[in-house]
Amino acid sequence: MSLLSVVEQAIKSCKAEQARIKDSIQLYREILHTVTPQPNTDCVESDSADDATAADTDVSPGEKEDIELLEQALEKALWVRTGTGPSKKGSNKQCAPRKETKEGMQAFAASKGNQTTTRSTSKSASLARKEQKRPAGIVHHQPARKSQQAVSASGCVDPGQLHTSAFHSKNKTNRGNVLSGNDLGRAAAISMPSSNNTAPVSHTAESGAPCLPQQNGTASDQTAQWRSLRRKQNRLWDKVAASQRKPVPGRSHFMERIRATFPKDWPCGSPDQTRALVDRLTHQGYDLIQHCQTQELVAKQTPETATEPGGKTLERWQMTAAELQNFAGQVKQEWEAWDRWRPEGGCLCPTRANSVWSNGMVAPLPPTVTYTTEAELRELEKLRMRVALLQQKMHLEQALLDTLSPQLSSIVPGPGCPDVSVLRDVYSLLGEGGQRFPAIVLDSEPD
Amino acid sequence: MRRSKAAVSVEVRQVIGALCRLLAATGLHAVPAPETFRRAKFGGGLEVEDQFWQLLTSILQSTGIVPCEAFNQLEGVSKHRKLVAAGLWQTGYHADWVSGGEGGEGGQGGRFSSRDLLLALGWLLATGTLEKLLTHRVQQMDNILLTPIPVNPQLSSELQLHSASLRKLQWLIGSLKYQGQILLSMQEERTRLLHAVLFAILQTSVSSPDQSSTVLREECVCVQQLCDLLEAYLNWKQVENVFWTWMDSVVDCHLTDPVVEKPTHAPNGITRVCHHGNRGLEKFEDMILRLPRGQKGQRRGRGDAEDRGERGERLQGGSDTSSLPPLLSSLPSLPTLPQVYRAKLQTEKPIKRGFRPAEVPHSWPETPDELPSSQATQLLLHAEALLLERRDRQRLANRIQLQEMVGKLDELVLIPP
Repeated sequence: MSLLSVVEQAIKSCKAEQARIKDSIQLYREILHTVTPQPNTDCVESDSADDATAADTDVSPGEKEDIELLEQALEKALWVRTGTGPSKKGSNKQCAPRKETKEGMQAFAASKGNQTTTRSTSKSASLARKEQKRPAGIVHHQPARKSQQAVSASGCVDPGQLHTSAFHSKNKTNRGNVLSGNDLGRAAAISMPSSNNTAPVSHTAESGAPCLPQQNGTASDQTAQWRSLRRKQNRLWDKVAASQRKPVPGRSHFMERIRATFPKDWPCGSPDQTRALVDRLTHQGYDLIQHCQTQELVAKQTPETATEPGGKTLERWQMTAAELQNFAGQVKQEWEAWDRWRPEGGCLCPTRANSVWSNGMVAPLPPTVTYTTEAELRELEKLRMRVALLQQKMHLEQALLDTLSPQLSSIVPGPGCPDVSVLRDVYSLLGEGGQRFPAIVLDSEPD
Repeated sequence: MRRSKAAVSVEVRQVIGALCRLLAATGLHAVPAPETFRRAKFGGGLEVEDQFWQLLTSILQSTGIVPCEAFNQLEGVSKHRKLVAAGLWQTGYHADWVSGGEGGEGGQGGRFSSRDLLLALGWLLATGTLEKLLTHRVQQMDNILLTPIPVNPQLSSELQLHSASLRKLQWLIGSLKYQGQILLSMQEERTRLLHAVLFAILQTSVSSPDQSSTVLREECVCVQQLCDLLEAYLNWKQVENVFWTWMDSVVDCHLTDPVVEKPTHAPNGITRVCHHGNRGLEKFEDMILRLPRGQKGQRRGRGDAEDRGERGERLQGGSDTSSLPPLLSSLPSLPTLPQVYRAKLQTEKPIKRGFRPAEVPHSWPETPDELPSSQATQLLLHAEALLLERRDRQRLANRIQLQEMVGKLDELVLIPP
């Protein structure tokens, strides 16, 4: 397997995660739109005419050129798309290529602009209205899309709308694109349309939609019902969590009795626990090896620094290493014991999907994280993502090192100059994470 | 006053009914009727066995205890048997028919009956399978959980790279980094919306928006199912002990029957290789070999003696690997963070439950069900710091080695950035 395909796989999984997040975002928006009162939509709709003209003058001429160029390219793409004809609404096959081009366009837009800004819902609504007024050829493609879109409740967002929003959006951030695109789709599908050409189409599509509920009375009931159900769920969760803390003597008694029927040399715990332990020890061991190695290298490079502190820590590392070795011996025996009894299909290799704790008794239910301010939640989520991405990066760097080191060790001094650019690339990948490059100079002075 | 047998059996039937309702609420399709459980205790026929095979199979598949791909090519009864055997072994269960050989149509002597399956089910329930099923179902149905982020690629052991494709690799790595940044910003947006949703739940606004949507209706349906599931779980927890008492009686039945000779050693000495090729074990052994050795002679000797001592212990009853020796446990290790969380917005002051806020946890506390976000954040920061330290160390080592290597080449001089 090539290392390139591994990185491509990682990219693919990132994109899949992006799609999932986008679906969630769409879902939350719909819920919020339904549940919270929206006082702004009426006044914003009447302002839309002013907004459109105001927005036009805000875009700088240079950006306008770029926008027009891209618009032309997009028009072409869309014409090709609609040339094939709109297939089933919300079909996944269409969704996937749409998402691909959307990301391509996002890439372009994001490269122009920069960081995140917060947007208010009224602004997003106004942008949505502004999009509908754009006279470009793209607009008349929208009805075809919208009639598909209006009825599907899944998260497949219209590329036409997204493309326009990607380029006419003032914010030019990824988030901005996603937001305005989603707003547009949602606003068109759900709200009472009072603006021009596209409105009638989506309206008829909506009236054709199956089982639309009656208006006001049941709507507010639904919101209240949703709220009360969610609160009930919260209370129930708290009770469930409380019930987890109570011990269950009957269960442990039963387990003891069953364990008594096991053969005498049956290992303790379970293969899952052993597996988790092996995984943990492997990581700790490699960490230790890396520590010692780096320390030796640094010590070699700078022999003038005092070796006294180095000596102590080295000794401590060695003691820890010896302890690890002994313990690892025990664990290995346990592994082998499990292996002897293993039926076909059982597996002891560490998998990612382990939810086993090191004392492994009962895999607990999802814990609850309580927070008081929005900033706390945002920080928590940001950290989670950062840690996951960091782990991914390190996996890849390790794989890179393992792959490249045989090639490197084959570069021996002697006649024949090795490829300089290869050396530069390898140095930057392995030593600087691909971010900076060294300079390699040919030193042809005779000694 | 002894309760009449009838009253006890009625209670047991009710309790088993609660269990069946709970299993059905977690989305399993193959839940037998309570009566079937009683028949299984006394060895119902093939029909009862079949139902239990189905139940065990679907439990093991839903909870992901058994990797499904290993069994896709099998069909029918032997598939059930093998899958269930693998799954039970995975949780540490032993029974004759589980590790019996190929001809084990009933282990030694054909004594297999539905009671064995019932005991296996009991074992699964006792080792936390219900909680796994619950978690799995909640993840499916609940939209406002904080879910895991699966972005790690599967690495196989043989990876190649041509030096000509280094440029492409660099480009791909840059592209990956960019995808990561997109993810971060999308995640931020999602979190903001999630908070808004959680906040909206707690609000008590009376104004009625005149919108309604299919999405909300579907949400209500899902949340209703979730509430049913949680209620079923709570009901079960209240009457759980009765079930375990009954299972005790099943064990009694099992033991009082004439028992076949228990094997004291494994049936065959052939070590088969799992479908990953024992990769985990290889990596482990490789690590052990590469560990830095101290003063070789003494330590090795001591190590051997200790090993032999341990082996002696093991024959008696399994050495305890559940607690790490002292130096090892002081080694920094990444905290195992749970995969799925539930976020809860607290508007009132939380009750202090004896947490000392100044204490920074370095690993997830043993069984907390509720954690303030500040502690979770601390854990994550700690994990991030460890990872960064490890990464920077590795890069430093790489740089030094590469510089040395280029230094050996006569005509080239490397100038680091």
